[in-house]
Amino acid sequence: MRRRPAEFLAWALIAASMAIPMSTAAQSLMVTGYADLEVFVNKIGSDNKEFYFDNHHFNIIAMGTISENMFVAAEVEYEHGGAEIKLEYGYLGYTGIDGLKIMVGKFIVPFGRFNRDLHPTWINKMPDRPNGFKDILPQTYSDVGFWITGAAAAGTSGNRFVYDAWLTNGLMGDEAGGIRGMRDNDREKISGGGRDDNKTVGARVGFEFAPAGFDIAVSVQTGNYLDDAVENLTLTLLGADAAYRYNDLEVRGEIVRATQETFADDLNKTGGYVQAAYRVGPKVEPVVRWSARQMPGESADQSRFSFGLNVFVTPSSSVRIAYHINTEEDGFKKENDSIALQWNVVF
Amino acid sequence: MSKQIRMFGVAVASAVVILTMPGSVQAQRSGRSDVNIWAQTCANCHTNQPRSKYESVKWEPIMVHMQLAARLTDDEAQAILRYLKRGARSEDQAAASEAQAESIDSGGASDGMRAKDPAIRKSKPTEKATPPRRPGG
Repeated sequence: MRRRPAEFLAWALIAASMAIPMSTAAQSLMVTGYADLEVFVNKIGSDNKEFYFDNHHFNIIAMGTISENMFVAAEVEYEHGGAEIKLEYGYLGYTGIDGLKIMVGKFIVPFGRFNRDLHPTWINKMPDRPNGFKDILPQTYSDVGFWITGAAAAGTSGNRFVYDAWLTNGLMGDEAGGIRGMRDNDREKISGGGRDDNKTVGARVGFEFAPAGFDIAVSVQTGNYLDDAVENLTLTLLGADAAYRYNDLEVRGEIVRATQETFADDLNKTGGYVQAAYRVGPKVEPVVRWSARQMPGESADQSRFSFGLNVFVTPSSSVRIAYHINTEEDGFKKENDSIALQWNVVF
Repeated sequence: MSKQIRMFGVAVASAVVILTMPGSVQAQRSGRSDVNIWAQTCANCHTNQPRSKYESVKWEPIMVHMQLAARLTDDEAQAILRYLKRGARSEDQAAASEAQAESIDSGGASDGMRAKDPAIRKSKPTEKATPPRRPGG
C-alpha cells in the first residue's frame, strides 16, 4: 500500500522524538493501593430489604520510574471479597517530552473526570458512583492501546490547557446491548472467530483556571462496537465536566451522553451528576449529590438525591455515610431508598 | 490503515512538534512558590498526605501518577515534588521505625518510648503556604 507523504512524515517525527538518549537512574518502584469495607441497606421500606457487607475493593497498585523518562504502573483489583479479580490498568509511560506523556498498554480511559481520576474510594466523596456512570460511561472503563496526555501553562499565574487523546480497541458487544457489558475487549476478539480491525479514538480537552478554582473540559469517544466480523455500528460518547472550588466549598458536575447505532433507531442514553461538598474543619465534610440517568424507554430512568457525610479519621482513612433517595418514572416507582456506609483507607 | 489510526498518529506527531519547539508555552515558568502550588493543587481531589509518609525516592513515582491524574504541567509537578521531598521521611527515620517495630514485636519498647524517639517524630511542614481557597488536608 502506497503511503502518503504526510502520513510518513507523521510517523517519522514520532520515531525521531523517541530516539533521545536516556541516562540511567535508580529505579523507584513501590507498592501502594486502597481498600474499603462497605455496608449497604437497600430497598428501604420494601418487603425484600437488603442488608449486607461488601469488601468492595482491595486494590494493589505497583508503580515506579524505571529510568529517567520511563514510568510503569499497574493496578490489580480484588473486588467484592475476591469474586472479581482483574487488571484495572497496566501501562508503560514515556515522560521525556515537556508537556506530553505517552502511555502504552492498558489504562483507565481519561473520559471526563470521574472514570479515571475521582472514582477511587479514598477520593470519591460518596460511597458509590453516581447515576450514569455504571450503564452509560461504564466506570471503571479501561481499554488497551495508546494514550497521550499533558498540560501546557497559559501564562504564569497557574492557568493551564489540559489535553488527552487515546486510540484503543474500544468497547465491543451486541447490537443495542448494554454498554457496561462491552468492557474487557482487551484482545479485540470477535465471538465468531478472528479479530476486529476497527479502533476507537477519543479525546478530552479543557482549561483550568487554577488560581480561580475553576476548570472545565469536554470529552468525546467514538468507534465501532458491534461484535461482528463484517457489520459495523458506532458508539459515540460525548461528555462535559466542570468544577469550582472556593475556600472550603467544592461544586462539580459531569454529564455523559451515549449515542448507540443499531440496525433500527439509534439509542440515546444520558447520565450525569452535580455535587457539592463543604469541608467543616479538617475532619468533617457534608456532601450532597443529585444524579440521574435517562435510558431508552422509561423503565430504567432514575434520579437520585444523596445526602452524605465524610469523617476523616486520619489523612489516609475516612468513613463515609450516605442516604440515597431514588426516584423512578411514574409506573415504575419502587421502594428502593438506600443507606451506604463505607470505611476506606489508602496505603 | 484505518482512519482513526491516521488521525491519532497525526495528532501525536503534531503535539510532539509543537511542544518541543523553542519558545512554546511550556517554557513559561510560574511565579508561584513550590508550597503554594502544592497548596492550590493536591487538596482539590484528596486529603493531603503528610510528607513524612514516604521516603524521598518514593515520592517520585507518586508524583508522576498524580501529574497524570491532576493534569499538571511539568513545572508544577516538579515544584510539588521538590516540596514533598523537603519533608520526606529520611532513611534514618525509616530504619529507626523498622527497628522500633521489631523491638515491639519482640516485647521491647512501648508506644511511649516510640513517641519520645526524636528519629521517629513526625516532620511538620515549616514552610508557609498562601491560604488555599479550597480544603486542605
